[in-house]
Amino acid sequence: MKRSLGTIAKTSAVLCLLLVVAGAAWAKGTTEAAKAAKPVEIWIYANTGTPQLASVPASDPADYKEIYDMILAKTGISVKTIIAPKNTAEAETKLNLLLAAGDQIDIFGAISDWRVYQTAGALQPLNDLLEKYGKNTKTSWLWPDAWRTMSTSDGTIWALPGTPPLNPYILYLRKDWTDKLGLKMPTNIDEYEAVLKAFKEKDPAGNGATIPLASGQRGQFYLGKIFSGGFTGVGYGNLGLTDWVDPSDGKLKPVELHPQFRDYVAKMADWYAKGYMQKEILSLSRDAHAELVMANKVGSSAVWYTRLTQGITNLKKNVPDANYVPLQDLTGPKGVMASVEDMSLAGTCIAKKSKNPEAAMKYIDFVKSDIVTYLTCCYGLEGKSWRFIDKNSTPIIWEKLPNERYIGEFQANPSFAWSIKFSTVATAPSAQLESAWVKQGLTKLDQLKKPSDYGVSAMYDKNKIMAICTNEGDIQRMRDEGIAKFILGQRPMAEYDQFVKELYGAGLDKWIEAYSAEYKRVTGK
Amino acid sequence: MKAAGGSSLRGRMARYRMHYALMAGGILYFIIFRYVPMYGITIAFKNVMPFDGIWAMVTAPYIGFTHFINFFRSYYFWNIIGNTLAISGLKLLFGFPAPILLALMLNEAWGIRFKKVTQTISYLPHFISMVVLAGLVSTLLSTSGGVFNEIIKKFGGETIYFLGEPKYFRTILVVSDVWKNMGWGSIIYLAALSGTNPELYEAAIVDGAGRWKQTLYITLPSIAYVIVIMFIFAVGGLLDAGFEQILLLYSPSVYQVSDIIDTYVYREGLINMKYSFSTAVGLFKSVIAMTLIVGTNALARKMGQEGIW
Repeated sequence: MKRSLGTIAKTSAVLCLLLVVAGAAWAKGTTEAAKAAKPVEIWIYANTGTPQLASVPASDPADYKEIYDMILAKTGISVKTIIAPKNTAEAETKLNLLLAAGDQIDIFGAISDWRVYQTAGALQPLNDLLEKYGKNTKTSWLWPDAWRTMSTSDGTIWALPGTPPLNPYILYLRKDWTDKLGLKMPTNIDEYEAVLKAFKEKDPAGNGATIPLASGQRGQFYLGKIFSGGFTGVGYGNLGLTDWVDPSDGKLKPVELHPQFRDYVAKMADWYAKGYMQKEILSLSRDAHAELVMANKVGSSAVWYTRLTQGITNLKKNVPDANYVPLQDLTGPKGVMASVEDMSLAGTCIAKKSKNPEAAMKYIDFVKSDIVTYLTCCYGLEGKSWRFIDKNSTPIIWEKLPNERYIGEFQANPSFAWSIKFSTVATAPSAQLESAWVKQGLTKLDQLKKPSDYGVSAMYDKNKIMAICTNEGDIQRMRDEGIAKFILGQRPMAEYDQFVKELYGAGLDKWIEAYSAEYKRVTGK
Repeated sequence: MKAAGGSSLRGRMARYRMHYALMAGGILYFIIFRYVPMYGITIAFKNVMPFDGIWAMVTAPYIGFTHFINFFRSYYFWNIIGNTLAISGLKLLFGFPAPILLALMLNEAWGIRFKKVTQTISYLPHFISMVVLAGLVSTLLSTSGGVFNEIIKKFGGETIYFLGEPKYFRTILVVSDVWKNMGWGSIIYLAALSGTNPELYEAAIVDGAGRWKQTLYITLPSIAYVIVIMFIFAVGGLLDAGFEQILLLYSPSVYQVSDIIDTYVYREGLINMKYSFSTAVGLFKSVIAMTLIVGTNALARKMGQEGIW
């Protein structure tokens, strides 16, 4: 036994040694060979833009390689990609872990707020890189304020903008149902409520299946964006920035403290109690919402403008007359109800630990060198994944071919400035609806309610806020939870004052102090 | 006769050098991948920026128990501790005996074919990922076409938003958790049952014991040691209330009954990237878990059971 043990141990040791020696020799050889010919390598974490909308997990390997080779030939940069999970939270978690573990990621999208990464020391300053290698990126962007949004107060730019202020939150209504019931298109909240009541009582879907009002993925936020401005008179801020300036003391406060915000909450609670809202409206997933639309159940829907379209193509197959129209300029007691989406804090970043930040910026700029390159990196090979219909029109007319050969891994910096350069031939009902909104209303902001700190909220210094208000997370939880409970009828509206007291009990004074100081610092007011 | 190599430590090591050589790989694995990373817990006492690299873990100055104090003072501290213990406690209360009962029932089943089919079916949910399980639960409980609400409607009732109602949420967590893990958990008890000496049953039958008495006085005592060990492990995991399951199913309206230590750490640590803070909370959790294991083990030994050490 002892002998056999010894033999096993000796043999294992010799094998390990051989493996190490062979590995070292191989590594030495390959490193030396690679030094001579290896192109600069960068890695993209594909967590924004087209890869997130694809229904297949990855591109056709042949198309992917062809695009990779084209980029390599034209730039000398070997671009590698990591596809992020579709679920936003999972994608964010994976990104944070990869960055913290020191894995090579050069380009990534800050999906909600670049300041979180900047505060954590994860970002590369971009001023010099943009100056040297970002000519196309700078010249193609049409909204100069965005650069301020992507900067700290010392003028350092930390992210590349992708989205300008928009009007993307839409209240869609089934016009074929209102026609069927002999109702006119509502122009104000009372008329809209009458439509909801009629949908509920007359049940145009049949079998009691009609859902007068639905929403998807971020129901609570979408309802705030679409309805609250009509009650408060000020716009509902971007996600995590839903605050307003109290004119009585000039301080920045959570919108929940606005005297008329409770009227908005009461209205939502009333609609919920009357059965006008889908019961899971505050937490329904994007897919579940699309299924309800597809199943011909939804009378109106408060969503991001592309969310509804996911179910429409299939709905039209079964109900060809189904016709959703956007309700623009719906008014409440304080005028137009809808709020603008302020300049986004989402942006494309270059990691602080990037080994090749110059190459990363060069590549981002290369994607925007011309329309064919942009479309190729975003949508695939010309002729295989898309084709031009009219290359000379403005915007250029193009068409995506009916396949998913390529999902957009090389997109790098999705940019609205480039999206508006081309327009699709909308044949599918979903594309028609999206396309119509892009043309009619997406960039029309004049009528919309704007938050008190419109255009400046992005410049608040997170570190300074956290130094004063150490439990912002607790307060955010209380705000989300409190409003959800009122709307769902789990807490009576009579307790709203108590809810406000609880917010103060959780440290709201510090929150107001921290945010007001930042508001004052940024605006001078 | 004196053993070759002497009885000193050096002598013993020389004598068993081949054994030590074989162990070396495993020991190295544990040192490199289990013990060296433990240095990371020092960031609980520092303020380390997540992306400053490993060296920042060494160079960052100590700030004492600031992160722990911030956690203890956080507004929802008692709420999340209470939720963690309540959800874990309920899972322990219903989830711990469930596989034992299933194993006992399977042990009593006559037909070998029926037994095997039942066993296999009971294992299946274990292989479903938590994401799929959450999808199944959401679909089954949906207010638009979900099976349970359709049944309620058939009987003339109003649909219920189960996942948004605090009074139902914990029940849903516990039931789905028991369903998922009961079959797989029963394997170890079935293995222990197979080792019971059949002569004990034969003797009991001669003494006039029925099935119930046999279960009570032979079957259960013969697997008691496994039950105790599994219980000690389960108590050690009392602060693990099922992060993934809760994260996938909860929403603001049920935070009050579902926000646990792990979901809090996830929000503050991974999403807001306060890694030092979340390490402090994680360390707090580990210390409590260790205390629970040591305490339960001591209790088990006091009651005459073997324990895990």
